[in-house]
Amino acid sequence: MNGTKPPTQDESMIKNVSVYQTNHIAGEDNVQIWGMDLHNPVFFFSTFLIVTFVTLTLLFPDSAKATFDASKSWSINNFDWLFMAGGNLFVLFNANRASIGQNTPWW
Amino acid sequence: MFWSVAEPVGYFTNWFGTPLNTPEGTAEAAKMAMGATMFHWGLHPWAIYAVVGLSLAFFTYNCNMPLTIRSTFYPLLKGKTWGWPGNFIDILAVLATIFGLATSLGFGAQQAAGGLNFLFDIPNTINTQIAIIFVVTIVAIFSVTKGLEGGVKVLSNINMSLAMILMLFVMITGSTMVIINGVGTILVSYVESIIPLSNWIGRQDTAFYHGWTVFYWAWWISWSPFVGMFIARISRGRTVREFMMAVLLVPTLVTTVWMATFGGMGLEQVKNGVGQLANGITDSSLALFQMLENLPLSGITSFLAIVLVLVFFITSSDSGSLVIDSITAGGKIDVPVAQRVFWATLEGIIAAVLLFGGGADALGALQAAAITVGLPFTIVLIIMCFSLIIGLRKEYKMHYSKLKS
Repeated sequence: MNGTKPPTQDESMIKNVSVYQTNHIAGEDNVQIWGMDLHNPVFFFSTFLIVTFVTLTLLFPDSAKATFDASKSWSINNFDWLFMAGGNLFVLFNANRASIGQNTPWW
Repeated sequence: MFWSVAEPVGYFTNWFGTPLNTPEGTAEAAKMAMGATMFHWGLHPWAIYAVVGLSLAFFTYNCNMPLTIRSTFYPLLKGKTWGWPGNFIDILAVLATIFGLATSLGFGAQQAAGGLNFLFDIPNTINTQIAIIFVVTIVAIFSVTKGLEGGVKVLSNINMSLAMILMLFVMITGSTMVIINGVGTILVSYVESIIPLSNWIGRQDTAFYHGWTVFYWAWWISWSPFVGMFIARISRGRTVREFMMAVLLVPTLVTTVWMATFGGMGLEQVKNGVGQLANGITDSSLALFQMLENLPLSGITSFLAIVLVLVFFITSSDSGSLVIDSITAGGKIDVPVAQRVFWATLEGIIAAVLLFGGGADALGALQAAAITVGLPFTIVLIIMCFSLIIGLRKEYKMHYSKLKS
């Protein structure tokens, strides 16, 4: 929001003013190594978890399958309602958005 | 794509549970099979993607924040968005995306190998499958270096054209009237069954409900950061209403016609006892080829279907790498190409290594991991809806007060 400028009727100018002001700049937490530009810690954490997952699955294929199947069944058996209710909420949410457009209040 | 034949036929023949326990093989079952397939591929998955797509589009383009999932939580997290809560959300999104992509690449390679075996008697061995992953990954790497406009766009256009040719061919050479009527039947059945199928209270059809619907929902949700960010990027500059038309209605209608064509022909063959499908689903990845086999020029169409599957996996790998790269670069877009190549390569390596080391079981573990990540991500998505409402309300108020003064 630019407080110094007088308010204007020109909608295209208003569109360019953002409701949220953050001093965060994309990539400011990044580190540059090997000619790459990577977010610290998201890149390193994700890569570490992926490599760990693949290594463990290869070392202990049977227990890896059993563990993840169990966690999958647990999620599906106990949280089936959450997935379903969430799915329905998202459909209604979008229907609501589409019917009222962006520049009207949410109710 | 393979599922467009296998899924309706599977529901109709009670391969693994029937929707709402509809007795198999009846006229009611045929209608329900189409409605339920449509339910799984219709408004719900696209609504899941649209939540992520719209939120990202609003917070990154209208509010000038980085193109990464955490930006959508700014109204709630404020400055903490750039700290650990935000890191956690982004890591979750990266894991869901890479696990989902690598799983489908692995299973896709098995399907394509199954198809090649069916067509050309190429042995369906682990070596064939790994060769397919290798080819897909190499083409994806080549395409990823060209960026969104050069690579992905060209490939998606090829993909759409091939799919259209295949669909028109099946429409013309198959039972044309059955397919045309099928569009109406599907829409009616979809409307009739959407409420009972999306209800989560007191379900009796556990095999179908847990094995298909909830599984699909978890799977779509684990794909949502990827598809959502991708559609946010390609729909920049559209209004919310245009966005909803393009993301919800158009794909749902295209899916209806696709389902009527492929699913409709599959069911028709089962009902009339034509070909392999009449014996029920033995190998879901072969269902499409078994359907095409009983139409003219099956050699050409099956080959086209295999190419289509390969191009589909190349585009997924390619656009998926763009998305993961954006998240792991803190939302920066103009980063070195080497990073996208890294992710495309890693995805291929994960799929190949797991297939080689543990076969379908290891891929199953990977898929189960993706589903597991889907659970916390469901909560992330629900909060995202509220965050977006807060953001849109605030923007509305600001514009309104400015226009008034």
